[in-house]
Amino acid sequence: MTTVSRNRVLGATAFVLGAGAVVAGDPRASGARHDEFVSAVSVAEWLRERQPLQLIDVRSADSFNEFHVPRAMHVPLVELSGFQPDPAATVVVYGAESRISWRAKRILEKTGHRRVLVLDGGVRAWLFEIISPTVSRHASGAEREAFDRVAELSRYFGGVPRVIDGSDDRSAASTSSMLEATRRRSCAF
Amino acid sequence: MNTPLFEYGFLSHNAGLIAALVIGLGFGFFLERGGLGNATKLAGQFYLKDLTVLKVLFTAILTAMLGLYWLGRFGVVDLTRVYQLPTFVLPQLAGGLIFGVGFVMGGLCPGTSCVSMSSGRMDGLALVGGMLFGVLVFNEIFPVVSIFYNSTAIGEVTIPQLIGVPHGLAVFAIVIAALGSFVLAERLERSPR
Repeated sequence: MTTVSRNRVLGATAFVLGAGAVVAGDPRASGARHDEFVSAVSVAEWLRERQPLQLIDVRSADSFNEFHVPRAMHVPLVELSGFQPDPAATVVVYGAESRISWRAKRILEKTGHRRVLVLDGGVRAWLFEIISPTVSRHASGAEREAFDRVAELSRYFGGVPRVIDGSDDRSAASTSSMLEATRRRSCAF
Repeated sequence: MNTPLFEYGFLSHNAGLIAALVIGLGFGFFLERGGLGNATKLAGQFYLKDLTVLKVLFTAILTAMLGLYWLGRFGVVDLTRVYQLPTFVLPQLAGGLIFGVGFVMGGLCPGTSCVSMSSGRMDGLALVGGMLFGVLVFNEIFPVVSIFYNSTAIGEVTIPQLIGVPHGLAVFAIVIAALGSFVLAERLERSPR
């Protein structure tokens, strides 16, 4: 096959795949596994409503002692295979971030436990979305309305919602400073 | 299937670093084989004599875009979990300008300068040295430029979100733009000077 004809075949393939995309729809919907993740806001709502929930923190003992989501129990990743979750409760696992929690979810499911949910974003999501949620001063009405609901939840858990200028300045707010502020206010749980 | 593998915990932190090294080596190898370690060849695009860079990069964009689109569509890749670089309009425009000036002056971009250095070229070595010096200077002056650095943030936006068109239509438009640019590039390269 000559170079020219090979290029034409590749070009035609790209054209067909591109044209197919027009009718194939949004690719994000097919691969997404939304039903296996739960947001920090949903977990906070469930906790506030006292729903049957078993929260499992798979981080190190030091990290757990420093800070954990209210009502969470500490089960290190290495001990998870021998752990028996409460069959009557919704089980939510979390680590420092989503991918650690996913490993925990797989271990729990291998032990024969029914569906296990993963706290989306791990403990950092709890800190950023519940303990220290922010909204831009220039946010739209709908965004402010959504933020007000989160802010109410945040205060319930001892958090401090903030209105910030322009872009999100989360990078400036260190996890340790958030933890310190949370400790000073003492948590509701 | 659970992909991205790293995001779903199938790759540990260390395995992720090893995977990045392997992919980086492969990327560098094929850039070099494509002739992109040669500053003269790269600079040729600015004089419309040699448009290899345009063709290579647009091919890479097409391959990645169509691959991710269809893998996402068939449920193999969870696109909501693929990291997207947040957009900061003005700082990234300024960065692009500095990048472009450096590219024209040196004939190499950061990736190709590493490729050039690895294949023993002294200009590649000089540019990698300059790049590291630039990184050092940027770190030192970061407190001064941090306000600008974080300004005009519009979040993790994609082209379809930004212009308000369906995902598939944006994919098709980029395919047409790429194919059109390939044809134009070939004509320009063949045209008499």
